[in-house]
Parts: sequence; C-alpha cells; structure tokens
Amino acid sequence: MADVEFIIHIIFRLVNFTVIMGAGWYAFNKYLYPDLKAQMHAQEHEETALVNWYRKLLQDQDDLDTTLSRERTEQQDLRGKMDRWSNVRHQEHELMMVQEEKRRKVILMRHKKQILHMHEQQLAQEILPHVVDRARKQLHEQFAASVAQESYMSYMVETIKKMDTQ
Amino acid sequence: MMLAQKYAHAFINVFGSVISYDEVRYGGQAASYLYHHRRALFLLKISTLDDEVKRKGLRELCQKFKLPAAFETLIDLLLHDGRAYLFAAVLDVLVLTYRKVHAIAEFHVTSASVLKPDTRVFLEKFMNGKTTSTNFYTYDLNQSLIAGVRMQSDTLLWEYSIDKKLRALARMHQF
Repeated sequence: MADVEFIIHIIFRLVNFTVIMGAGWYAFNKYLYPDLKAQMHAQEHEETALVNWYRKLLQDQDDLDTTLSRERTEQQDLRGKMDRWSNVRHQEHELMMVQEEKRRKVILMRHKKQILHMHEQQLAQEILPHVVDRARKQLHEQFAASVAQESYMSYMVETIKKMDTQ
Repeated sequence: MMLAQKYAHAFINVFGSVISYDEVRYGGQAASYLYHHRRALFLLKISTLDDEVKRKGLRELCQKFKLPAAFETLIDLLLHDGRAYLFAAVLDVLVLTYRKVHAIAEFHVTSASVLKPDTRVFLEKFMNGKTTSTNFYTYDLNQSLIAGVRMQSDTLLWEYSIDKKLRALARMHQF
C-alpha cells in the first residue's frame, strides 16, 4: 500500500512537474523568447553595421594614406620646380642687371659722343663761314693770274678725260 | 601763262616745220626786248588803242629782230582775239616749246676766264656726249666762279669750279 501511494505520489509529482514545466515552457515561448530573439537580431545587425563601418574606416584610412603620399610626392616635385624656377629667375635677373648696366654705359657713351659731335658742329658752323670767306678771297687772289686759270682749266680737262675713260 | 602756252603750241603745230631755231631764238630776243621796254607791253594792253597801231608796232619789232612772216600771222591772231599783250609771253613759251619738240638744249657756259677755242670744243664735245639733244652754246664770263666752268641749260646744270667746292664745303656742316 505504501508503495502504491508512493508510486501515485511520484506519478502526481511527475505530472505536476510536467505541468509546471509545460506552463514554464509555454510562458517562456510566449513572453520571453520573442523579445530575446528580437534583441539578438538587433545585436547581430548592429554588429554587422559596426564591422562594415570598421571596414569602411580602414578603406578610408588606406585612401587617405595614398592621397597623403601622392600629395607629399607632388609637393616635393613642386618644391623642386620652385627651387629651379627661383634659381633660373635669379640668374636671369643677374644677367638682365649686367645687360642693363652695359646698355646704360653704351647710352652714356653715345650721349657723350653726340654732345661732342654737336659741339664740333656748332664750332664748325661758327667758324666755317669765316673760313670759306677767307678761302674765297685768297683763292680769288691766287687765281687772278691767267697762268693759274689756265693751269686749273688744264687740270679740269684732264680730270674730265679721266672720268670719261673710267 | 596757260593762254600763252596754247598760242605757242598752236603756232608750233602750224609753223613748227617751217621756221628755224635761229628764228625762234630771235623771237626770244624780241620777247626780252619787250620785257625790258615795259612801256611797249603796257601800250599793247590798252584796249582803246587802235589795233592797227599795235600791228604796226609789232611788225616793226618783227623786222627789227628779223622774224619771218609766220610771226605776223601770230600777231594778227592775237590782235583778233584782243590779246596782243600776250605776244612777249607767247614768244617766250615758243622758245621753250620749240626746244622741247625738237630736242634742243641751249647751254649758257660761264667761266672765270676767257675759254680757249680748243677748251670750248672739248667742253661742247663732252656735253654732247652726255646728252641726246642738239646743243647750242653761249659763252660768258663769271668771276664769282674763281676758276672753272659752269654749263647750264633749261633742265641741266654741270659745274666744275672752285666756287662749287667752296659752296659744298659751306653746306657740309649745315644741319
């Protein structure tokens, strides 16, 4: 008897346990599982987004490094060009200064020559009429004699003959 | 002057082959005579003076300078047109036109001393060689040349003299 009670007791206990477990499983599936599932999905989604973002950041980092390297090279090239241009410009400037100095000296010399020539011209203009007048008078006296006239005419005839033969 | 040229050209066209250069030169001398005796030219300008009086005066002038009868035709024409006062100008232009038409050049040769005949011949030969025209020469003295010769026509001038050298010297330093 006692054994039967015990067995019945055990059976009831098992049934009770089963019912409680079923109720617990039902409650778990009904109320907790969907939230947990949703939270897991959200967690997975967030994780995937984070991984993608991380990859994108890595790609951006690579791009930035490449750009930086290229710009550094370009900057070095540009600096080299700037240095060369500066050198050439400096040389040209020096050459120009030398040429300018030469030109200035030439102009100065020409100006001095012009002034000298002008003074000579002025002097000649002042003196020449007197010289010509004096020469004219002296030549008149010199050629007053018929011998001089004849000599000059002979010279003229000879000159014309020479010109004609040439 | 334009009118005188027209009369001279017309005269050359009609009598150009009849009259000689000497006669044309006489015409030039007659023109010079009229220019030196301005009173005669003035009388030709007076319109109230009878044409017969002008004709008579001009014919006497023609006889004086041994001008041929062709010039009397010119006088008649000028009197008919009432332009007798142009006679001297027409004669002047006539000389130039005749020279141009017949390629004649009149050279006025001046020298500081009297040129010897052989020098004259040499100079004429020299100038004839330089030009293609028929040249006539008249000689004169010009002491301002100092020494040398100057030959000048209507269009040509050739000079070899000390005066020319002095002139060139004086011009040398002119601005």
